[in-house]
Amino acid sequence: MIESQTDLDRMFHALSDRSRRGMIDRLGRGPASVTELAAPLAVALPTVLKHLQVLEESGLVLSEKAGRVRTYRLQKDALAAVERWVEQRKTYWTATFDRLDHFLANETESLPE
Amino acid sequence: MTTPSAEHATLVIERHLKAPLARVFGAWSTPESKRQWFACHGDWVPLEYGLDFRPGGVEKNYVADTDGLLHAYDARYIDIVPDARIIYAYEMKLGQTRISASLATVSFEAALGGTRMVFTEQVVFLDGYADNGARLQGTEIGLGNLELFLEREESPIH
Repeated sequence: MIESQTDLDRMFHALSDRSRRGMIDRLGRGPASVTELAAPLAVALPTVLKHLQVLEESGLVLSEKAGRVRTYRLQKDALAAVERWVEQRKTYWTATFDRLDHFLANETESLPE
Repeated sequence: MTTPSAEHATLVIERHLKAPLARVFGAWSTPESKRQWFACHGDWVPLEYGLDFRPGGVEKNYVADTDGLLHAYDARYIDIVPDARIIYAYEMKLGQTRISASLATVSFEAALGGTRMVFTEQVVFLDGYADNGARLQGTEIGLGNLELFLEREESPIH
């Protein structure tokens, strides 16, 4: 998935900033415009655009322009998407079965056999 | 716009539980028990839960995540063998969007010190799945871990 050390350097550089990680977290919920990405951040629009440029150069994010609106999305969704979905679903069930384990343990305490 | 897609996958999760077989099966088959571990979900808000545990019976679990987005689980039970096997079909929706359709098989057997439970899910992920406005835990946990890792990496340098 990661082509070279240079790509890796770019990706880690892109992720080394809290605002950019916030943008990735937001894009994890679906595509967003510059305005939507800027909204939770207390920074000027040129700064937001600079962050988005760094993210796009890293290959983590890509953008498309439709009319006047440029929409950003996670590039990683396109790569190995099914593997990520399976991991998400597994994480969900693992957490659920942890609660089952916990439920059974508590039930034992409250119902002496 | 997302193009229609249907991606198939199978996932298997095996667990050893410290409770006897009959109690483990009871946790799946009794609505009040199942609600407690299945529907209650950290800081997510439970909206509606119901279970009619018999072949042809349905189960629903509607919760709102921390952004207020509806996660709707609707299942229909197909095959039930007490203390041995449960087979059900379920769909997941985020808001109005169906993100997956699945066939799940849960098998149980008595094992030393408890119960061996094997959960097998054959799933079809639909139309981009997580891209459709989803905030799924896996993504959050993944990014959270990465953030922790990066913060640890940063601290000795500064």
